[in-house]
Amino acid sequence: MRSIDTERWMMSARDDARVPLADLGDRVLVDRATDGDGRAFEVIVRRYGPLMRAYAIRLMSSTAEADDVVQESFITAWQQLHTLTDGSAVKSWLMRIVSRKGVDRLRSRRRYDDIDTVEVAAPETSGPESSAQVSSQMDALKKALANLPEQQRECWVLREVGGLSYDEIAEQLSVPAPTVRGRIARARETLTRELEGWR
Amino acid sequence: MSNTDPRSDRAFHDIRPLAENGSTPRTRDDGVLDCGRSVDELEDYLDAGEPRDVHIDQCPECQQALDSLKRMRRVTAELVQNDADHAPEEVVEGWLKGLVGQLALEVRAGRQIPLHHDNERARLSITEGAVRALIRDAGDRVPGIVVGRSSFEGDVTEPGAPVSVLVTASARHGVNLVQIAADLRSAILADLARHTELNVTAVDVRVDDLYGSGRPGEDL
Repeated sequence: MRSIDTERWMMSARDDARVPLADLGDRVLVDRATDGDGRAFEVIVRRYGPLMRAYAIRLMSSTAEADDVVQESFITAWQQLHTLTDGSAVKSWLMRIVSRKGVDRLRSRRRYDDIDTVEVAAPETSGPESSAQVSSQMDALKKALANLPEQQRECWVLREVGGLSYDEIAEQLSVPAPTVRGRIARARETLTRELEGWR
Repeated sequence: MSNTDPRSDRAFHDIRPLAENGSTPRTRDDGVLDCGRSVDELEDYLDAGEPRDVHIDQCPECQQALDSLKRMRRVTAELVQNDADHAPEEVVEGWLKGLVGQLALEVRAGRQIPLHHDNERARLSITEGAVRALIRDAGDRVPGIVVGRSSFEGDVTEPGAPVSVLVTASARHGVNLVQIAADLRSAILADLARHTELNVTAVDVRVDDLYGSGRPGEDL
């Protein structure tokens, strides 16, 4: 059956005649995808991929790595869809997968850095062009986030964008919850200060 | 016990510059304002939709901190939305391309459902996954309803054994649910009879979702 299902998937781009899958709610799309419908999964990818990428960009402070993290997240999602009992919760479920994948990657990046004392790739916003063009609160936040110590940024983004609780973050990072609390407090303070100038 | 993990990046915190204009709410290490309220509490207060709170309502420090938190949330949401809106189309297509291979590796084939063949020595079967695809396609022919999941009760691997089919479905807002469920049931029965040898005793349709009444993706 492999070939038939693969064809079904490949046809998806042209197949716009019958059911408007893009109009459907998350639950039925998840149900179909769980049963093997690649077209339904494609709609989910298009619907939430950009948001997952936006989250990963801030978490990783790197666009290229964010794209990889989202790709890996979708592969995991496809494999584990059957574990999602409430399809209407697919958005937060996907964001959680991004959290896990992103944290794993940051961790291995740090381990690598420790061994080889390689500099972390420069954040995209630190280029001369963008720093000269900071023109709004949004850009100020972007820049301030990129300049945060990595562990603070990681905790802050997991909390404020990913919506994880302190305990969940602590578990993900294998550090005590008060440490998470402290990092977020410091990150928040730095970011608040940076934003003040743009009030 | 100290609230601060010795391994944390405390040094950074200690060299932070002081706010010069005094407009940034100062907090202690643990995120507590001088008035005694913590920033965490204020976040909870915001999440709860700013219920009446005698202290917060008249505490200038809390009000200032709340303004900062609200602005931070607004700008963060704006940044994330902006990034999401600018995801390049080729990146999205790249994810989909990468998934095609994965899909081929992970086809949900399920059990093998036997098919009769005149040659005694030939063994023919169709997979459960393929039958589910048949059911979805049958549903796609009925305007106004979309099949979600389907499952089989009974031993589908045993030729002639009674099997009942349960499908979940999403119906278009405003359709006659009784009529459309009956139409879907007939379409599924007809297709299963045409393409399989399953002894289908019942097709139960459970409409657990509606579409067409709001924005796509909105939970109904």
